[in-house]
Amino acid sequence: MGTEMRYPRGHYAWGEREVSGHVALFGGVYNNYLALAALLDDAPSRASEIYCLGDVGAFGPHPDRSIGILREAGVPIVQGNYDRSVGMRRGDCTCGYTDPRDNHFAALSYAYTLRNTSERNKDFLATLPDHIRFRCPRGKRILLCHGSPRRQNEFLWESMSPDPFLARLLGDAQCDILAVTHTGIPWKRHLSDGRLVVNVGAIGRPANDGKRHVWYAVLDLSGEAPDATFIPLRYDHERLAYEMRAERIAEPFVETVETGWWTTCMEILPARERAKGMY
Amino acid sequence: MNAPDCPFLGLDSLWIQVTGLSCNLRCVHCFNTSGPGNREFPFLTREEVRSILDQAEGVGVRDVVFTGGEPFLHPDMAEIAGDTLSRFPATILTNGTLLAERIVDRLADAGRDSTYSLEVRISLDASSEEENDRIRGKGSFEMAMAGVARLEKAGFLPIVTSVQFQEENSRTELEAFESLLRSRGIRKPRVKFLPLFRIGREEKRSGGYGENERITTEMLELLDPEQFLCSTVRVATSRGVWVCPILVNEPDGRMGSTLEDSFRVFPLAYGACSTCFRHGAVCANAAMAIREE
Repeated sequence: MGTEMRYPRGHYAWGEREVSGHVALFGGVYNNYLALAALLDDAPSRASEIYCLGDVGAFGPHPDRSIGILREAGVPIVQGNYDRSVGMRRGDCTCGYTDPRDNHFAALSYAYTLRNTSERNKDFLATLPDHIRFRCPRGKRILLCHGSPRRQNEFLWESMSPDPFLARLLGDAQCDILAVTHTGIPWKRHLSDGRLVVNVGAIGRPANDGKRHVWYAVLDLSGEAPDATFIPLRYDHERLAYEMRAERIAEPFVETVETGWWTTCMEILPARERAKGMY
Repeated sequence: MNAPDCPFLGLDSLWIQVTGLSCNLRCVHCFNTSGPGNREFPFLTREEVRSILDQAEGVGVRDVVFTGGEPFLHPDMAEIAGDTLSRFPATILTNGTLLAERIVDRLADAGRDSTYSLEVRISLDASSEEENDRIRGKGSFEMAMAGVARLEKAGFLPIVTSVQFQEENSRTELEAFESLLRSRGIRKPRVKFLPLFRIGREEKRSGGYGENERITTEMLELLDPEQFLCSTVRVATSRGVWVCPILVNEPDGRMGSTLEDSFRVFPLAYGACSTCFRHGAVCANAAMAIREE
């Protein structure tokens, strides 16, 4: 029932595995298998490990292609709300829009992904973990999740996440470095005590900035103070747009791929993030 | 019958009732009976708000919402917003009728250097002047629209909120609001519908809630508790901390004098709680992503 998406406090199993050096983090694939392939070409030169923070499906074409690439490459994946919904064969993506037009478009892309994901891949998405934890050599505890540590579909926007609130989230989740995705716009914040929050953005669509490239993040755990760098990722967006149209995916989604501006589901954007976009 | 308790999950949104229930309008449906001459709660001073913000920082609040009454009756509202925005995202709920250019400019200055969003929500209860003014008072439509236009000019993206008097909000109504806003030069219209709470002045108008409109334990089991505003919200007033912005006229809604006093469960014993149950915690700017089958 309704409480499934809220994670119980302190349920995190401690990953004992130690990770050092550079770690590539990405999320929000949204079926964009072309960007995913570009990422898997680009990231190994920058990082020794790669993790996906979830939402493999959405409005891009051919969902099984992205899942297939991830499975073949053996990339560890944190479950996103979309993955959970598809895995559980739910009726909607649990994005929680209230605007009837947002719901209309969200329902179209969700129905497409649900219809075009194989049963075997749905089962795979259902088994994904809701978080991944590891440690770095100086003992710092790192938590990877999709929305927030407490809720799979909570949006952590830069302009809506004050430091004391982030400190509370990190304290409750017992971590020093938190990485999330879900909003689609990358940002990072160093708390005054050295703890770090990173929203890795999305590789499935541009960040509402009028550019065609997408973003992922590389976490640098080699120094005294951990940091993150955002990497712009180019891919064949013209081919993606062509394939989306061939699959009869709704035109506003194709427009975003071609222009870099978000066109639908704008109601979730806070004022500051909304002001930066075209619509 | 005993009302079930709503758990308290942590303070995400702190509402601050900065001008008590004092308002320059007297809307026919006002759930907290705000109006000219309502002196139930004295104004909070800028200093008092600062000390509330200190408490908020200590407990890791996510955002601050200013309400009333009408917040812009406070002579220091823009400065209070500035004090807040250096630490938190903020939202101001206003009727929009007092937004002189001078005030809007001070507000824009207050938010300019902040990392955080400042949302201004303007109440308008119909997209037609005649219907709105019947509810909110003669002249309120044009005054609010002038406020919206001044905010737009100063670079804000105001959210127009409208109470829905019919059960279902329709796409047509949404489009009527958007075309109204576009016709007034608003480039990115943002519209949010709110449910009607049948308490306060509205109770006298439409008869309030029936005895059977109450939350039962079985109903609570169907929901994520976050559906109820009182699981993540509290309201600071000049007379202490209340459980939620809707129940400020209920003496039992007062939960203590400090924020931490108020961090406990609350019995969902009121008719208004059934509106929260049906519509979710809709008072937030964007509805929280909650509903599952």
